Amino acid sequence: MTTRWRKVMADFWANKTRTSLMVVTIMVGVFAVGFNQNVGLLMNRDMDNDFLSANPSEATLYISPIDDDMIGIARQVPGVGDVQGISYADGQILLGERKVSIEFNSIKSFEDLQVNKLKPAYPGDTTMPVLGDGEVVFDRSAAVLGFKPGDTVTVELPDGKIRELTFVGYVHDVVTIAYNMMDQVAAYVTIDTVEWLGGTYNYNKVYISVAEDPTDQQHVADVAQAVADRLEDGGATVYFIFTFNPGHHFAWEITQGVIVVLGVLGWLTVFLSTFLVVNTVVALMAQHEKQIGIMKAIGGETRQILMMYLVLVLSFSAASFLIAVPLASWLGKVVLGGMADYLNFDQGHFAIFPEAVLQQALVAFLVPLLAALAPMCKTVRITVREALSDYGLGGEIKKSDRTVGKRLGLISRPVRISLRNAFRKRARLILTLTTLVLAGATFIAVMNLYGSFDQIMRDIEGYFLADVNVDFNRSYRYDKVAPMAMSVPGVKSVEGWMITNGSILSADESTSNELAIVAPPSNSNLIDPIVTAGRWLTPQDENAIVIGNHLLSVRPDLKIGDWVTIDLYGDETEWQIIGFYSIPGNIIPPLVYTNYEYLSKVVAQPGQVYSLRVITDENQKDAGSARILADRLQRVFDDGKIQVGMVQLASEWRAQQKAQTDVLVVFMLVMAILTAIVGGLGLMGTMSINTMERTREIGVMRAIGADNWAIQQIVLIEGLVVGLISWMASILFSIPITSFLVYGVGIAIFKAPLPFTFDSAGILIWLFGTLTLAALASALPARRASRLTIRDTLAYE
Amino acid sequence: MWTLPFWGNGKVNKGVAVASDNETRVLIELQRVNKLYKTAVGDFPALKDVDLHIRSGEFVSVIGKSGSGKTTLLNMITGIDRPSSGEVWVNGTAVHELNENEMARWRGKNLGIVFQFFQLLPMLSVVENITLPMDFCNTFPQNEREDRALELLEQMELADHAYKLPAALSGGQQQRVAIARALANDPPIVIADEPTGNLDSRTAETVFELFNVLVGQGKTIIIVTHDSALARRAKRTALITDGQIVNEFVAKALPALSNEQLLKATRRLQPQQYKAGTMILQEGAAGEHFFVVSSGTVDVILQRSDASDVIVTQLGPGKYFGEMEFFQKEGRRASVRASENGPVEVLALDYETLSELLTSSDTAHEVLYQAAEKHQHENITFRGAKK
Repeated sequence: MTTRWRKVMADFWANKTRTSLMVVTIMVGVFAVGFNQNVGLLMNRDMDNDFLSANPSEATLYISPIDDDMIGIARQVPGVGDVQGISYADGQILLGERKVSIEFNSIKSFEDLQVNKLKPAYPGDTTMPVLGDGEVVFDRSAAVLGFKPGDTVTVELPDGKIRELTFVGYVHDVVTIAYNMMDQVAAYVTIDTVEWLGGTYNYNKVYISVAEDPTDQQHVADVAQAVADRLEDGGATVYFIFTFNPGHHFAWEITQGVIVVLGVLGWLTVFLSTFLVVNTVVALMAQHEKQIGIMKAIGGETRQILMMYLVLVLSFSAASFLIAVPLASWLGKVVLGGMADYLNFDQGHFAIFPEAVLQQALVAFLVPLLAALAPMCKTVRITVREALSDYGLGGEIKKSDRTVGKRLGLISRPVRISLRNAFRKRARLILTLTTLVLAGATFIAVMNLYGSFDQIMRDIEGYFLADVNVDFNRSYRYDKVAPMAMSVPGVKSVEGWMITNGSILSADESTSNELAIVAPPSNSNLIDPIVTAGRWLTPQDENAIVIGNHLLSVRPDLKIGDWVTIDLYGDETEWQIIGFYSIPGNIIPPLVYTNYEYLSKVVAQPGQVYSLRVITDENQKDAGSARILADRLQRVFDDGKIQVGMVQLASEWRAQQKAQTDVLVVFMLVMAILTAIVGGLGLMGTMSINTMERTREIGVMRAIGADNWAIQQIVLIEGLVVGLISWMASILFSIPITSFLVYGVGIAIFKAPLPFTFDSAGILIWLFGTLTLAALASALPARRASRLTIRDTLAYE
Repeated sequence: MWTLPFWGNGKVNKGVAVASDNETRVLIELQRVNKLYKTAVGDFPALKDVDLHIRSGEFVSVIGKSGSGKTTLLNMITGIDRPSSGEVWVNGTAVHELNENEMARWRGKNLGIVFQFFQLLPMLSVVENITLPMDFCNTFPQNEREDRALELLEQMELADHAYKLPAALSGGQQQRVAIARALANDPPIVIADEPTGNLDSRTAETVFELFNVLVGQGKTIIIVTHDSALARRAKRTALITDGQIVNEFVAKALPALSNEQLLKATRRLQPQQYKAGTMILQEGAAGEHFFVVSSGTVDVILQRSDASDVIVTQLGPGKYFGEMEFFQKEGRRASVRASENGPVEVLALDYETLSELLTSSDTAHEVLYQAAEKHQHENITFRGAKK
C-alpha cells in the first residue's frame, strides 16, 4: 500500500471522535432507511405468510341457519374458492366484576376447517388442544386474560343464563381481529357446545374464500353477493355481508400507513443526514486544509488528493454500512416481534432483504459521496498559499464582518462575540440551520400529527358523546329501560337510540351497499357531527338522511337532494339526502343518520330502542367512577332480565381507538427523535469546527485575561443562538411537513386527510429540546476550548 | 527597475571567484515581478518590480523585516503564489504559466520546501512523511521508496526515529525530517522559509550546517531567515525592504545606512559597464559620482612624480571609489580603470544623493569620512613611498 493510502487509513483511525461522528452521521440515514425497509418488508412478508397460510376468507355472510347442503350449493357459485359454515353464539365471560365479550365459533375438528384455518398457538408448537364438549379454546391474543388449561370459564349468555366451560388451551387464529383491538375473545367450541351456549346446529355464519383476485374488493363483493343471492334463492335470509380489506390481514391497512410514514420519515432522515454529511465533510476538509496545502507543496496533485478524501469518505460509508445493515435488520426484527404480538401474526425467520440492503448501500455510499463531492472539490482546489493562510500575506477581510458588533452595542461583550461568531461562517451556519430546522420541523410536525390524531378522536367522539353506551341484543321499550338506567346513582340523563341494518340500492337497483342506520332522537344533544355539505337533521325532518364519507367512497354518485331507496328488512323505503357528514376511521358498514322518531315508525317499532346513551354526573366522569357506574348499569339490566350486548365506557372506547394510532405515533416519535439526534450531531460538528478554527483567538482571549467560564460562555451562547434561530424557523417549516403528514397518514389509514392541527406542545417541547441539544452540542467544544492553554493555542498551526 | 546582484560576504572579491560564478547557469530568474494584495485597507504591494537571478549551486539567504516581502518572494519561486505581473522562471520552466496541477507536479519534482513549523503530516510516521512526495510524483519505484527515505534519514542522523510519529520528535529532529522530505524527490532546489525560526541556536546551527552540506552536493538553497548572523554565512544574501531588494554591493559598501536608506540608494544607482582596460575615472577630472563595483575588478592607479602610472590596489564587488572627492570637493585623486581580467560593472551614485543619505545618517557619514581620510592618507603615503 502506498503512503497516500496509508494516510487515508491513518486519517480514519487517528481522530476517533471525528470518525465516530462521521460514521454516526452517515449511519443515521442508513439505519433509518434499513430499519424502515426491514420492518416494512418483514411485516408484509410475515403478515401475508401467516395470513395466507390460514386460507383466509374474504367475505363473511351473517345468515339465518343453513345446513351442509346449502354450504355445498354455495361452493358451486362461480368465483368461489371455498366455503366454510360456522355456527356462532355470543356471550360474556364473567371475570369478577368485569365482563368480557366472547364469540363462540363451532368447529367439527381443527382439521375439518377449510377456510380460516386455525394453527397451534405459538411458532414451534406442533399439536392443537384436544377439544371436547363443554370445553373451549381461545385465540392466543386473549392470553392476556390469564386462563390456563383446566381453568373454568364462566359465561353469561344473552338470555342471562350462566354456563361454565373448561378452558383447554390456545390456538392461533390469524384471521380474526385480535382481542386487544376488538375487546372480544374469539373462542372455539364443538357444535354441541355451541348449541348448549344458545347457538344452533346449523350454520349462521358463512366464510367465503374467492377462487382468484382475493384483494379485488369489487370482485369479492360480487362473489359474496352472488353467494348471498344463491342462498336466499334457497330460502335463507342473509342479514349482512361483511368484507374488510379482502385478501389482507385485518391490520394490513394500518401497517401500510405505518410503512408509508416510516418511509417518508426515513428518507427525511437521509435528507437531514445528507446536510449533516455536507457539514461534517466541510468541517473535515477545513481541518485538513493545511495538510492539503502541504501535500500540494510536496507534489500532490488535486486529483490525487481528491481521490484520497473520496476514499476516506467511502471508508466512513463502509463502516456505517457494516454497522447499520445488521443493526437495522436486527432491530427491525425485534420491533416486528412486538408488532407481531400486538397484531396477532406469527413472525417468520430472520432475513436480510437484498432490496433493503441495496437502498442502504445507496444511502451509505452514494449519498455521502454526492454530498461530499462539492465541498471536497472546493477544498482540494485550494492553493498552497490559501491553505497555509498564515504563511505570508493574502488573507482578505470582509468589511461586513465588523458591523455585527456595532449594531449590538447594548449587549455585553462576550455575548456580542458569540453573536458575531455565529454569523461568521454563513455557509456553515446555513447548513447547520437547515439540518436543525428540518429536524425541528419534523419533530413539531410529528407532534402536530399526534395532535391531529387527538383532533380525530375528538371528531369521532362528536358522534359518541355519551359517557356510557349500553347496546341491547334486541329492542326494548324506551319507557322501560330509561327509568332503569336513571335509577342508577350518578346517571344524569339518558337518550334512547335506534340502530338498524339496511342496504342502499344503486340507481338502477341492480346492486346494493350495506349500511347501518343510526337514529338519535331529533332533539339529541349527544351528537356533534362534522357536516361537510348540506345540513344536519332538524326535528321537522322525516324521511331525511345524512350520509357520510364512507358511503360516499363506495357511492360517489350520491348528491344532496337525491332520493335513494333503502331496503329495511325487505321493505324498500325512500329517503332524501339532506347533508354529508365526515367521520374519520374505518366504519363498516357505513353509517347513515336519520331521526329516531321517523325511523322507529318506518320499522314499526315506535318507542323501542336498541341502545341507551348515558350521561353521568360531572363527578362520575373519571375512568374509575365511570367503570363502577357501568357495572351498576349492567347489574340493573341483568336484574331486570334485559339482554345487554355491551356496556362500553367512552373513555375505554377512546383508549381502544388511540391504541391503534399510538402504534403509529410511537414509530413516528422514534423517527422524530432520530432526526433530532441528527440535528444535534450537526450542531455539535459545527460548534467543534468553529471552536477549532478559533483556537488562536481563544489563545489570544486567554492571554488578555479571559477565564474558563468566559471562553465556555462564548461557545455556549453561540450554540444557543443557533439553536434559537433554528427553533423559530422550525415552526415555520413544520407547516408544510405537517400538511404532508396529515394528508399522507390520513389517506393511508383513515381514507381521508386528517385535520391540520398546530400543537403548541410540540413547539414548546422542541424549544426545550433544541436548547438542550444546543447546550449539549456546545458543551463539549466549549469544555475543550476552555482547556486549551495559551501555549497550545498560539502554537496551533 | 532594480537589477539585483547582491551584496557579498566579503570573501569573493577576487576576480577569479567572480569569473567562476559567471560560468554557472542561472537556475532561478525573476523578471519585473510585482505582487499586489487586496486587503481591507486597500491594495498592498508586497513585491515591486523585482528582478532576481540565482545560479545553480548558490546558497542564498533572504533577509528583511517582518512584512517586507520575504515570504512572498519565496512564494513566487515555489509557485505557492503567482505574480500580479512579471515572469518567474525556475530551472527552465515558466512557473507563472503553470496551472495548479502542473504546478504541484512540477514543484514535487523540482523543489523541496522546508517550512518554519515543519508541517509534517502528524498521522504519518517519519518515514511515511518522506515517502509521500515520492508517492505523489511517482519518482522512484515503489519498493525503493522506503529505502531511499531511510537513506535520507540516515543522512539526517534520524534513522532510529524512522517509524515514530512526528509528535515524538524534538523540533530540531522534525525540521531535519522536513529537510529529508524536501530532498525525497532529489530536487535541484531546496527552499526554506525560516527553517531555524522555531529552533534553539544550537539546533539551528546543525540545520544550517546541513544546508551547507547540501550546497556541497550541488543543490541550490534559498532560505528566508531573521537571523542575520546565520544569513551572513550563506554565499549570498538578499536584503528585502518594502517589497524591493536592496543592492547587495551598496549594502556592502555602506553598511551603516538603514534599510530604507539603502533602498533609496539602490533606486538612484546607475549601472555602468566597462570593457577590460577601459578608463573609468581620470585623475584630476571633476567628480560627480560615488562608485561601487558590482562585478569584475577595477585598478586604482596613481601617477608617480615621473609621470609613470602605478596600480596601487584592485577593487572587487562591494568595494567603492570616489569618496575622497566627495568630501574634499576637488578633482579626482586617482585614476580608476577596468582591470585587464575582464569587463567591469560599476554602480554610480550621484553626490547629491550620497549627500542626502549621509546627512541623515551620522554614522554612515563618519564611517565613509574616516575611510576617505584613510584612503587619502594611504595615497599620500603610497605616492611618497614610491618616490
